[in-house]
Amino acid sequence: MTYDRLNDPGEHFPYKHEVATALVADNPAMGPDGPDDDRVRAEDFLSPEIVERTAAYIAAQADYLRDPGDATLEMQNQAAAELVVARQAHRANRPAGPVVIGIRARREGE
Amino acid sequence: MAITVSGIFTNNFITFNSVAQTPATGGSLLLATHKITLWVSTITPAYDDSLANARYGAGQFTAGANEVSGTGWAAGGVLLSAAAAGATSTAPTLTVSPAGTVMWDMTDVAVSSTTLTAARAAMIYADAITAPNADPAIILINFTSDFSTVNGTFGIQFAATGVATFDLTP
Repeated sequence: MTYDRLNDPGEHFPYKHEVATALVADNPAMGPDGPDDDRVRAEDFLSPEIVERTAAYIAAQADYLRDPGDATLEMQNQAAAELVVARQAHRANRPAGPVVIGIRARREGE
Repeated sequence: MAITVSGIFTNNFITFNSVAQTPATGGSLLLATHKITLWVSTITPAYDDSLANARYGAGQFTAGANEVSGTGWAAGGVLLSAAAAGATSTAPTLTVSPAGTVMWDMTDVAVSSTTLTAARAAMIYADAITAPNADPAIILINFTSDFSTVNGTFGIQFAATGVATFDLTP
């Protein structure tokens, strides 16, 4: 199973690093109400740091799957920890629960 | 009844940590082959439900009227490997954060060019698992309001505490 993950088309190997990098650089509008809705932009979902740390994490994960062992596991765990730090930095000012990007239905009285 | 809280599907969580499933590691929270689905407000998720019911395609999660799908978001859901901005991977992780706590996290969900109506919750399921019951549900995230899109991005921005945490403090 572990080795099969590398060739599973539903998995994330290799990471689409170029796509993510270009998206962050272009920073297009990504609101819920059409392609010109710029209330939300790509930078609200991804940061350059997250892109780089994700690439490193997925590469480290692939290394572990190819060659399971203490050293590759440690590298994967370290890369995961660094990715989480990048995510937390990006989310520093968010509320305690998830925020949904969508057109919110109005409740009575709103 | 309706959706009132977010939660983990307990019996499936037990199965993920046993070998009584095919493939044995199909419930790993690190897999990007899990899929994220959207649901209307009127379902009543039972977090202690049986393995036979707490899964995509059965019980409350019977595909059809209860599932929210549309342009850009097919019934059956979106792979976590393609659910982040630019159809890139959400890269699920498991780390210790804070001390004594295991955090399941992933990059924000951001699926572009969708037209969806009245999504109240997201349910993530293990698409890789085929037996004893296929597609077991992992977690349901309650949005607390209905959300729609019109040829736009449907996104979930997770909190700094990740998707879910498991407090294992001694």
